[in-house]
Amino acid sequence: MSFDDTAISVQNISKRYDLFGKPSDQLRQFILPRLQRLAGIEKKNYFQEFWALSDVSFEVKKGESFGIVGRNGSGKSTLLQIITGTLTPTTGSVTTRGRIAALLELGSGFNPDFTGRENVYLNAALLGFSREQIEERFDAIAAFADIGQHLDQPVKSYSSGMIVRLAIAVQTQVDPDILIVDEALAVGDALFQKRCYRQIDRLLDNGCTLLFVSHDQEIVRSLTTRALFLHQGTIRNYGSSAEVLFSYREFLQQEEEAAFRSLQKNSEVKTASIRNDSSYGNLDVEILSVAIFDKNDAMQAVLYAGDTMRLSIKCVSHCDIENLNVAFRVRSKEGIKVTTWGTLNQDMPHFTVDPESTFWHRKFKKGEFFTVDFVGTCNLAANLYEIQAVVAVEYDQYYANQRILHWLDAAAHLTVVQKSREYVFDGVCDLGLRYVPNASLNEASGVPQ
Amino acid sequence: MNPHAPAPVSPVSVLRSTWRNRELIGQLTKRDVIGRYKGSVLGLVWSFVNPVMLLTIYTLVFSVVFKARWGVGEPESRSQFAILLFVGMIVHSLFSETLIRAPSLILANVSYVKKIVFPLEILPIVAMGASLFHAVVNMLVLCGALVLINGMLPWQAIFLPLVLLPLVILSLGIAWGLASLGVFLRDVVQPIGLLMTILLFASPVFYPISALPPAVQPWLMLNPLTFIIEQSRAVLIQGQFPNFPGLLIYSIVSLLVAWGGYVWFQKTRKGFANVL
Repeated sequence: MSFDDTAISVQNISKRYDLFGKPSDQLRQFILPRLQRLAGIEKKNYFQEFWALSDVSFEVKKGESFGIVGRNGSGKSTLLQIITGTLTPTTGSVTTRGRIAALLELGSGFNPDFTGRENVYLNAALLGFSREQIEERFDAIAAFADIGQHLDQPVKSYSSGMIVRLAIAVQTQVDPDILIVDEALAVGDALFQKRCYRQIDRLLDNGCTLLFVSHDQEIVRSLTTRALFLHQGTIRNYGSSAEVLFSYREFLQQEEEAAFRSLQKNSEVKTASIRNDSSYGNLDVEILSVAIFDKNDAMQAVLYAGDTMRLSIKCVSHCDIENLNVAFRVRSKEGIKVTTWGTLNQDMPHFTVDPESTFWHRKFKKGEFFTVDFVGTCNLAANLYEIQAVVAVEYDQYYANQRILHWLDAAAHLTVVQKSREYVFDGVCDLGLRYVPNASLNEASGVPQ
Repeated sequence: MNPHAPAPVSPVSVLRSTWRNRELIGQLTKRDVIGRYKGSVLGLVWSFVNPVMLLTIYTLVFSVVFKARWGVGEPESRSQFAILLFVGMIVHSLFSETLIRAPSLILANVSYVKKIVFPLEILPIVAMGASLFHAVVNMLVLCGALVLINGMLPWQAIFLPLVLLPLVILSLGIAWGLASLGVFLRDVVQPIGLLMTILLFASPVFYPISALPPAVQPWLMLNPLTFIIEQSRAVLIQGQFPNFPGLLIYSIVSLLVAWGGYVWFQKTRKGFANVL
């Protein structure tokens, strides 16, 4: 044991994959350049280079939980494999302290012909346990995996879920000093996942260091305190999990927009009118842009839940027109319509009281530009959202008869993230129901805001 | 165990790794042996039945049908030829079984290279252990046959492990070399079986070395199996002491080869993950 409290130290790691045409080229590469150097001939390389990681450095303290995020192919798995020790870095060095249990490509250390029980012994022996030590833990492992009589069947007869359960059971019950988890838990059913997270929490409480990779940013945020954002083999951001995930979300957003834009035939989206396959209507009134702003009037694609936001829809009228309704819909990335609102919804209660004040009564001249702003609190749960915008003529004040002038899908995207230690909730949105001691709905004063 | 330290190559590290992984080696060897008879009703009994049947057939074919004679001159019992033959076969298969498997050891366990941190250097030891198990069973069958036929077993037979040990060390060294080579040069897998068959006939398995012309005899000693086969027969059948100085020289060479193979294996293992 050292006084140093660093569990994992990664220094200037680079990993070059030498893409060999055939395996024998590797042998040639091993021998020939040395001979060529001896003979004084210029060294020749027998491979193509690919840098999976370049100059990655970071440290993880003992007992810390650390996340790694990044898109597919960004080098996460390579990095984990290097830390685990199954891959050697091309340059740089890694130091780890203590026993490492890795949940990478689970069950791959299992021998398919052996029974589950035998594989448990084998796996634990690999982690440096003696037979007696394994026997001591065997019951805990079996209970955790909870696969019943299958334990004495060959692993090749297992379902993928069972393999993963058994593998996780072994790796988490052996009290590792460092636990490396890569996307593994996603395979288990909800109950098992819960059990896994409880076990991880328990390990963390006991001072285990956690290195966690997942595409589920929710879990990364809630499980880790610091994180690393890898992009194309380099560190793009490194700091507190909330901060890193925020930038990761922002990045994903940009990538998505870029992909979206490249799909569009006419690229002058921002300035001219938005016209694409997901847009229709006769364009008597045209939506020019849809944007989201934060409370500082800065345009944003990412907001924290609870932030004040403004959704701004800019339009131009191509003829003299009235009885308009400018509306939006919010859809989550799963396609669920989360909420809709429009100027007409807001006008409704006023038609009988003060009809002249309504947006519906407002007259627009040909060529007139106008902006409709919706202001409020972003009560959405963490997710990726699509905003659809609509301008319609409403012949009826209560949505009975309408004509769409311009309908725009994916007019804007919004990513909502949560501040992990301040404002957290699950589901779709926050209803704003709050705990109030001794509250009664009859007393207006007892109800919050 | 720090997975990030460079792979050690010292002779001591071989012993250290073997000791540290003894549980693993034991379990894997056990599985390897049992795995061969997996699914069969008799299971491990086959490892006993096979040599018994083989020995019976040899006796029948060579002694009864061919009336083959081993040496010239002194009278020998009917089954003498089969027994002498069997000794040679056991020694040969101890060597060849390990070596035939060696080039594909790593290739057959890709997940041990890429997915987990595994002491790869023990794989040849496991293969060796499995062949050794079969050799031991065969030797026991042979000893049983000797007692049955000759009514006695020379006490010098206790030197047999000492005679086989240098061969085990040598096989291990070559196995390390081949295991690594087989990863980069897949062709190695192909000729090794043929080579071992050639070796079978180039060793004094079917004939005594004395049956060869004197000019050829020293050349046959270059075959690593010759000396061990002759020595095994000396202690098991002729009841002689082994040639201790010869064994010592053989052991020193074996140890050097073993260490060489190990160093080659450890130096090249970093490249395994890149080509598998």
